[in-house]
Amino acid sequence: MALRFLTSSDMSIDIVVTCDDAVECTEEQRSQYLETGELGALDVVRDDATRFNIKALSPAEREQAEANAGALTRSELGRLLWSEAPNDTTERAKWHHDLDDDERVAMSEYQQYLNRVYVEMIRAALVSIDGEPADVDQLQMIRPEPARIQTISELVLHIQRISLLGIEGK
Amino acid sequence: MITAASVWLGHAGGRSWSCDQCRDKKGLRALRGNCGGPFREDLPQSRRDDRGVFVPAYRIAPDCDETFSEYEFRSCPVAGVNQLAPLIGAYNRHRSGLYPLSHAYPSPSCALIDVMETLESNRNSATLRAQKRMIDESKS
Repeated sequence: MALRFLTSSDMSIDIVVTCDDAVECTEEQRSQYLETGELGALDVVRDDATRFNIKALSPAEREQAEANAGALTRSELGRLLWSEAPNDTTERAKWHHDLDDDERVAMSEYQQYLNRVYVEMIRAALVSIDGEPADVDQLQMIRPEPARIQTISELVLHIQRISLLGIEGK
Repeated sequence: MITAASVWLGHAGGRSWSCDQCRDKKGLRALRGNCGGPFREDLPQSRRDDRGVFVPAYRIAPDCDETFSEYEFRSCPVAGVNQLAPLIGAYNRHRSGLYPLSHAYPSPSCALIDVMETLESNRNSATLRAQKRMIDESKS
């Protein structure tokens, strides 16, 4: 990792999402694009691809996004369990199966908090879509549902990449 | 990780990372050197895990603190540090009192704040380590 982020929260970049019909790429190219943000990593990006303009978050904007999502009332037990959960899908399912009911509720509440953080991050970072001022509520109208979820996920990854150092970097 | 490497490479001095695969490529040094690409398997310091070839941080900068020593580098750290040079320069000028960081970066992103915090904490750790070594050497 080196300089794959923006130093100023006044700067913004254009990105596309890989579930766009005007974008063609392999799974490997998709991973590389999400990691670097370089359009050249993708196989085909046609001119009619939807361009999202996003900016890097400042510390104050990140804090505000977390506060709006309910950072002060989030479940600390859920956060702890979330950090302890195994990465492997099967192991994670077995681990979750053994949790008590209140622990499952705490995990679920923390997952909901994370989802709200993602939406609030996009609200703070999304500048425009195809040159027109945009809001996160417009993303909620994307259909079909898998495309909406993937668009939000990819936007969050790009915002994190340009705003924050990755986990590996800390 | 690269930010921390910029501190510990300097701290380790002559014992710090000297990339064999960079030295093999004539002309790289003249181009502000270092390939930045993945490590070769046959480097004396390289190891392999399920994610590919890596070099442990304590082989990159032998005289480092415990936190940094646990990192795993998967490409030449000097190339990464070169890319961070403008930020490191701004930090140094801020520390020397030449001008505050807010002049160079009026609207810093979270990432920039993170870089500066990492530089500060690792510099402090390296300074303490150097002082401890001097005290130990003076006793012996």
